[in-house]
Amino acid sequence: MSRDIKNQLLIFLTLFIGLYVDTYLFTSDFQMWQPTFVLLTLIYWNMALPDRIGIMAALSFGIFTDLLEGSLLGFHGILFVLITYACQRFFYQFRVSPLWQQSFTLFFLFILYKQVFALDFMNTNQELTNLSDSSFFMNSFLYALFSAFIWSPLFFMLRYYRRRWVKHNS
Amino acid sequence: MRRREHKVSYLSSEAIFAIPAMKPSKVILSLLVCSSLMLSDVYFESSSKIRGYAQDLFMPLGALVNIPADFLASIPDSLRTRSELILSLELVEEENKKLKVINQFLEKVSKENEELNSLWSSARLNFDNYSFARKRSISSNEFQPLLIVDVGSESNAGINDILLSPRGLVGKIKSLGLYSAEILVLHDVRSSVPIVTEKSKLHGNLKGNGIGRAGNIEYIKKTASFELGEKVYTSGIAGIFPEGIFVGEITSVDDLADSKFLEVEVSLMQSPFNQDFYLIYKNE
Repeated sequence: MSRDIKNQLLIFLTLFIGLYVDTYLFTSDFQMWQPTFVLLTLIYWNMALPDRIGIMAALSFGIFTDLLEGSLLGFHGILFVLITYACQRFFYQFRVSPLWQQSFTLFFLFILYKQVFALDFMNTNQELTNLSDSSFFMNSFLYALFSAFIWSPLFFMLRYYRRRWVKHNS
Repeated sequence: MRRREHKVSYLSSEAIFAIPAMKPSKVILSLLVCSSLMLSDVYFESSSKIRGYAQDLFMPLGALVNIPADFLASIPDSLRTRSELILSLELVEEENKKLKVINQFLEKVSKENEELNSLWSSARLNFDNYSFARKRSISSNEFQPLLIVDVGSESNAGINDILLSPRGLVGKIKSLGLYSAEILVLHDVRSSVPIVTEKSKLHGNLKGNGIGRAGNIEYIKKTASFELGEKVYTSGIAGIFPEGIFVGEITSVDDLADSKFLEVEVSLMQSPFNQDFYLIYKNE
């Protein structure tokens, strides 16, 4: 197996683990605040090895998430593609910033990310354009906070994994 | 070094080791693909046909969840000595004997109960139409929580069959695969259940408002009179949900000046988070 394919598979493996953790590991009230591990992993790979991960990976894992989460098909796809693009566009700036700054940036990114889920695409409540309320905003805040906190350990874990397993072409 | 990983400077002919950014055209194409998928889902519910099978595809991933728990459970046993294991085995055997005696009594009681139950059930619901389902996962989507349950390959469950818990109605099957079913729970903003109240006998349509939120009864005229704490049951109108299944209790009735209708909130008793087993009822 060529080095490139092996690297791709190793990267996809982490994304599948993220998907697994998101879907099956937390089945309690904590679920509403649990970080989206697949997205955090995608952000990490976009930052660490932007040439090894592409738009297709973001699109595919977005659609997988839609199928598993029951959201509109393509909804997570759009969000993952946009976040991947933003990460790839600004990865030079993001990669060199200290970890606490990265977490801070992700905190605001994830608050915005969560707010999109309150958009009422199915027109369930015709008097409103979105379903956001104070309780939802509180949940979004906690979700973003947990995501920001989890970023540092996840970053070190994935960095160790990358250095140990994902080898560069020589 | 691969060719696309560097450019050559026009001024100095030196290599610039920059990783090219994603092409905007690819991003736009992906966004268009996603948008068309979303539109087809909104207008034609196209994804409902494949979702059940997608859950089947991801089922092996779900089975992995038991591996860490089984591994952790096996650690204490592997650290115990032979004599300790024999002792615990003796205790378990003794307990087993006790349970056997208790079971004999229970069998007697259950036979009597069976007779009474069959009398009641023949007048109301057919027990052949029930099958068991086990919770596999629930999505973290606050407004559209999706409950996935395992249904046996021999189960005769179908789309729109209803899911029950000991505390009442949970939802209905939205999409079905070979081994999994997706449930549209009462809390989902897309859910709408025809209901009737216990005392005032007023009919309405119960809408979900998301996990952790009370549902509300729609389009209730201001002249209607509801009581707080009144129980709410399915009315059986429209034929999807059978009549008389417990749904929740009325927790607040507000007469807002800027609304043509009453604001009636219903607390939904059953949370899909706190239950592992359910019954699927095939409504005829």
